[in-house]
Amino acid sequence: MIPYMKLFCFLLFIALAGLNPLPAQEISGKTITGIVNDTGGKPVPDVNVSVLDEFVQTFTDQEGRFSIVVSAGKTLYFSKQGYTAVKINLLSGSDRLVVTLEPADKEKIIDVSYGTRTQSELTHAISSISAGSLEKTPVPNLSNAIVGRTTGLTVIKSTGDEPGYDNSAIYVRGIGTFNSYVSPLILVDNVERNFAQFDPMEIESFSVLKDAAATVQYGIRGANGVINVKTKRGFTGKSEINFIAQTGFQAPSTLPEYLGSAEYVTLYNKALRNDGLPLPVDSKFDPSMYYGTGDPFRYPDVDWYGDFLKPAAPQSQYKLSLRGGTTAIRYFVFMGATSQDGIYKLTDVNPQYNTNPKYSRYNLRSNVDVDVTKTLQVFVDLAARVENRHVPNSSAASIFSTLSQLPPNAMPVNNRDSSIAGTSVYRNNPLGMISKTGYRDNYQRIMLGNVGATQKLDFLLKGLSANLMVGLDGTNYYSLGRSQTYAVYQEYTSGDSTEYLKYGDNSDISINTEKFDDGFAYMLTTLGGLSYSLNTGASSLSADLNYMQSKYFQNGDNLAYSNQGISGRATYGFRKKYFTEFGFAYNGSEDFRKGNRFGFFPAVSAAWIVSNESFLQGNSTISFLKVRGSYGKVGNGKLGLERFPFEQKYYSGGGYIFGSGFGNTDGSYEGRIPNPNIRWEESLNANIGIDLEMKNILNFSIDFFNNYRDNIITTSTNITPGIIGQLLPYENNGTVVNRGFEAMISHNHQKKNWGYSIQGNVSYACNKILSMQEVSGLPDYQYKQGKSASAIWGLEAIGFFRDEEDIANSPYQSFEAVQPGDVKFKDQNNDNIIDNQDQIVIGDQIPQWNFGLLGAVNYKGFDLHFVLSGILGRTVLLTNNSVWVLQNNSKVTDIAYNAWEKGVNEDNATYPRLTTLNNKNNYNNSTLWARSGNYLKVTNLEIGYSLPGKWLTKINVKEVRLFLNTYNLMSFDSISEYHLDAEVPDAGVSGYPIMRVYNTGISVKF
Amino acid sequence: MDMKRIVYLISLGLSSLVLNSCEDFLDKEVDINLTEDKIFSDVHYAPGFLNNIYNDLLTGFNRYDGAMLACGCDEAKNSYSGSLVQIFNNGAVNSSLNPDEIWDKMYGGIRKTNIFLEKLNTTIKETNSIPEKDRPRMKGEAFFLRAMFHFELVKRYGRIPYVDKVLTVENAGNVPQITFDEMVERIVNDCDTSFVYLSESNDDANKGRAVKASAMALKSRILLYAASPLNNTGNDLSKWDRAAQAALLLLNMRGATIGLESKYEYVFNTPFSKEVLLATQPVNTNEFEKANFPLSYGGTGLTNPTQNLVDAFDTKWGKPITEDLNYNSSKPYENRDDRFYSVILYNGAVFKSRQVETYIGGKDGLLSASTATKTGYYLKKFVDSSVDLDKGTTVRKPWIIFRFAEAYLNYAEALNEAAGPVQQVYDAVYELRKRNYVITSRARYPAGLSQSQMRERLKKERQVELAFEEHRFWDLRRWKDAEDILNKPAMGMRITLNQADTTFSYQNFEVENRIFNSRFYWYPIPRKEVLKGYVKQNPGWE
Repeated sequence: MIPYMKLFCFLLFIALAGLNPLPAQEISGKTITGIVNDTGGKPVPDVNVSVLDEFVQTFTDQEGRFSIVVSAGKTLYFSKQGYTAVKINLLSGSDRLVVTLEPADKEKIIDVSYGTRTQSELTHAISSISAGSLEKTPVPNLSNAIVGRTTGLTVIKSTGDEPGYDNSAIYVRGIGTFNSYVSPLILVDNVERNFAQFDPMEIESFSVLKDAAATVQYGIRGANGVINVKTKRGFTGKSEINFIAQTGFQAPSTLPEYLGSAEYVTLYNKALRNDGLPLPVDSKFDPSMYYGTGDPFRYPDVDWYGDFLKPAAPQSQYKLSLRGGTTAIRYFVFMGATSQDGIYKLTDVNPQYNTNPKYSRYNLRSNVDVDVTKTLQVFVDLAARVENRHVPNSSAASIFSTLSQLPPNAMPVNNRDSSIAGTSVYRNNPLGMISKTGYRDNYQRIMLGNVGATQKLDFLLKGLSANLMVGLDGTNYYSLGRSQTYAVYQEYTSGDSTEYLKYGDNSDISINTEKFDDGFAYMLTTLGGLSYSLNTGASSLSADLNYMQSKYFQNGDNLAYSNQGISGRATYGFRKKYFTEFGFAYNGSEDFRKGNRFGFFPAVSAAWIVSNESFLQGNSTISFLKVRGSYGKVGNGKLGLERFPFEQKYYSGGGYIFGSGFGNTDGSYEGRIPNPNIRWEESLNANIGIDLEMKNILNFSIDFFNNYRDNIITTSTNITPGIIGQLLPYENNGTVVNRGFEAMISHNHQKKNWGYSIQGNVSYACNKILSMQEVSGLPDYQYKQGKSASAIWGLEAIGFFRDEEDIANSPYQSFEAVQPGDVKFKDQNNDNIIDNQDQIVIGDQIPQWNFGLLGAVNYKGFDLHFVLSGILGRTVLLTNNSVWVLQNNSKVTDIAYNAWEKGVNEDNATYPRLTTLNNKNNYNNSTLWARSGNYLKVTNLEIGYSLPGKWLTKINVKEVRLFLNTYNLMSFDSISEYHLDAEVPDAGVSGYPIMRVYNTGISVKF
Repeated sequence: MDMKRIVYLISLGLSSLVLNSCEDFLDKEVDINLTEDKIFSDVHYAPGFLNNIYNDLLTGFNRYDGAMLACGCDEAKNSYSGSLVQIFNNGAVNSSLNPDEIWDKMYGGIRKTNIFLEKLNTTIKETNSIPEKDRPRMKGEAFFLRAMFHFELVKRYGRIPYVDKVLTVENAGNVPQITFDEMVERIVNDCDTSFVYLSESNDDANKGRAVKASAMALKSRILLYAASPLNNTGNDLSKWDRAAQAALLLLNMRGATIGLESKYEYVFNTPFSKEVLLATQPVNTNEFEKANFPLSYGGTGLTNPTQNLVDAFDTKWGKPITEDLNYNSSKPYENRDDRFYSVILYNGAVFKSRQVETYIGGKDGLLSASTATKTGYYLKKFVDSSVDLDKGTTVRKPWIIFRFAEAYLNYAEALNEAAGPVQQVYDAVYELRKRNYVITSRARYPAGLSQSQMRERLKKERQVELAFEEHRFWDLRRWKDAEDILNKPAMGMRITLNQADTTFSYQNFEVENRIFNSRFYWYPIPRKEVLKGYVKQNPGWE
């Protein structure tokens, strides 16, 4: 597929390179020529010159000159981005015009929910990522690209980077509830959509709506924060064509390193001795068999990772966008193709099929705006996406778990007779898993569409307009696959005879494809409203009123998810100094009882632009200073729990086999006890912020917030007797407070030949459970109340038992009989028994601190960009095969050399005595396995070189830039000694690794 | 702004709001919710509610991560070192960590029986969703199941609340915790009630449901428990007498559909055997084979019978191995009670047409792999050798809760305690034992045993006959023998192949030390419940 795409892109590239703007059409009339200058008298190129109400247009050349044929009485319209458009009536006057364009009002427009506000009138806490910077990251998954770039956002990978399955978890201002649904509401072009598989080139802006003023428009869906993404649109001006081709490779950021057979066997025997178990009689457990030239089938020393993983796998991306338009029609068109390969080796040893994982994605988008009349504007946004994923039938989790478990001497990959090797204990062989379990193709076809119109209603009321939009998304997904099973064979020698014991079954690849997860989903959103703005110089008023409804249906789920409501807001500004806003939503969700579905969510906010006061006017350093504040109520109606918790629930099913025919009979059973009055979680959010601009020095912004989440769903499980015999009703009875701040500082410096910019951001959020229906009378440390909602609980390890006397004098550890070298825990409640009641909070899963540092340097044609990101205040538990050596028959890393050993390592051991048994004491969740999950990563680094402009103008090319970039280049953390990734410590051990990407490409603009 | 404009404006605003603004938009497009009334007025769902309750019967094949309860007493050792069942053997059970925690599940089952009994008199009766002729039988089943769930609770926890109505969040705290003896009376009452209503036997379509004999078997068992030393500290003989009478009533139910199988092994592979008085549903599965086939046969080899159990099997001459001079300790697996060959996979036993090798260095030799046998034995009982794990074939596998053989043992034991080793005691045991011996006379106990000699014989008889059926674990407790027996190490057999003459030598060895603390005669009541204040913790667990 990709080669075709390359060819296609190439042809398109050629075709577009020769494409020029349409020449002025030959129509009757006179020819007007002229020149367009800016206020400084410099000619302005690429100005759109058009005749109003006619499809005639041209553009100024490099010297600002133009020539257009116009019939008398028409009006010429001059426009270019960044300048205020000018209209010139041709009733009279000369045929030669000199037009002066003034730079447009520099006031930045900010995307707010369902609308825009100018930067100065904005009273919300919103942080954003500029579109261009996202294009500099080579990862296909956008959720991985946003990390570190702005405030109020926590982005942590939840899994490794298996191609196509590499989403990050996203939180806005940490979490504010102890329930499972903590994700922000994510919107793309005002419709609830996931942006992760969009191409960065499609994105115009990415905003994080943080405080109640910003999120209140979403009412019952706003409490977890909102991410508002807008795609690019066309503009009036000469077409911009942008082509990017890039290719690179991904390599695991780190992989655990395991010891070879001789060391493994030595340590294994040591562990057996610790366990009081006899040493195996089998000579496979004699380390000396691995020193020299032992029979490799009898005494294997297999590097499982090396044998089955490539050092790197390729990826490539091709993108083309076309953007421009006239005063009447403006367009943005995009197409892109992305592909990523997996890192398994030996995916092609089975001649019947190849199982090399592959992710391919095709993105297509066309956003068109049409001015139908002077007052009616229509837009049609259509996008399509194809996502194909090819994987072996054995999951990445199972393949990596096997790789990380298999000891080097467990078996060879293939036996002497070339059959696939295995043993009674190790019945999975990666060779079989990769090449002989079949494959699966997952297909997703996604169509996204927004169609809408805005009608100005100035004839009714100046400044009034109405808008209506319908969004329709459809997803079709299914998997096709073929499966196969394989047997493994264990060589068994007794005396002179050799036989093979067989485990599992060899089957042929299934003849027919099997279809899984066959389904579809759709989302239908309707959005309509009125907006009004009035500016009388002294005071200004902006107001919106919106109606929204949406229905999401996915087959497999029985019933649609629906949302409905109205929202509105009015912003009043006085003398450009004082702004105040009232916003509200009245909306509901299908999850609650009729009559109890809708909530009213108000928010007030205000801003004071101190710099517009007389005492700061004309100040040489402070060019802008604003103080903001907001307070309001938002809700979380998505509970992540059973749906419709208000209604009495009985279920069919759960029958039983009666009768000599063994038929299953009907069954029915009662579900959770209902609570007819159950409602959503409510959050009272307060925010105070300051925005400061010091001319040519820095921009600075800081926000403090205090979110008080009430009505959190709980059950009285801790209080109501279990003899009731049924799941207890959900109640609105929990409270969490979440506090923190965010700050961002940036600095730009641009000289003629060189310049740089730097931006630093920090976000802090810390939550605490205030109440959640716990019994009274427990010691303080046992309560979840007062602790973080994402706390990790475990025992406090205080060393290792020295000897039998130490054991006798210590509290009884109830998990398993202990011996010297086992982990000793602290008796928190002094009852002389160590059990689960001695668990304390040993860390937090979600970081309190998020940092980002972004920089850019340019010198002549060269440019450099970087993003550093980091987190603080996160704990990870290391519980996987590479740390828990010898557990579950797994192998050994060099961590085992730190193990406690009598008379050898008693004082400086950092690891409990080795054991082959599944020790319930040592492998309890405890501080022994907790490590700081903090890290600082060089997330993104790009170096580019743009060819000098003078070479390019001759061939009608605006810009050619060559670049080299990386993602996840380096990580500074405290678990690198284990060769694990601090972001996802299980990656590469029980799942696909975290990848590092090196990428190079070319970008051409016309 | 003139009036016309304002009217236009307002109507425009309103029209956008009423576009689809009625709340119906948030209604479900189809109401698929089933309510209590719908369920109990439906001819399929109403009886289905009762069917579903049977799912709460406990099954012993896989109590926790593949382990049987037998591995928590002296019957076996679980070869997976991480198995939770181990904490029964090392004294680590506590009120918040108990792998056999069934509190919520049993009270869940009890709630279902109470809902059903309530609806039987209301919705079901009013709508006739269950035909009148079936209602008495179903009432009997519900009463029986309620008794069964309470019994599972009381044998573990002793003093507990007895629940005979549907509880609400508000009144759940008002149910009193009552004594063991009070519980026994309530359970016996429920058994008696169910006995009245239950069927004698079920037609083909209803095979597997509780019958009168199931209720009587439960009554016999709970009365035996109530008469045993743990619960009868004063050795009140009338309690033993009551237990003997209940067992006798059950024995007298013997007939065409109820009785002993002709061979011991048939009991466990005959669906709806006449010996089985109640079993869980016969699901098609191979999970038990996966867990218990020795490793080289594709299984995990989890349940390893102990030498302690192996030694309890008599010789084929009907005598204990310690007393039988014909017993040859260098060929320990020859000439044993027939049941031995149905229960234990030993070194040299033929399984799936080849010999099991548990000797050191054998294919499934002692400690040869992480879950290879730890005792020198694998489990044969319940394991179906016809299962092919490579191909994934399955078999029907009901877990037997009551079988008729128990009646003989209950009767003999209770009568021996109440009246001494009278002839009926000998006869009852003989009836049970004779199917295991080619020469049936060898099945008879020698005459002239004292009461305590008879007691010891009967205890061993139970150990062997009911091995792995979740009796031993409770029997040792009710006899108050656990402190003695469960504090002894679990034993195994180390077998070495003498290369010279391919004979084996046998050596007993200690598999592990075991601990039984006297507080463990009763389980701790779950801590989460004790904290709520409506139940008191059992002694020793506070």
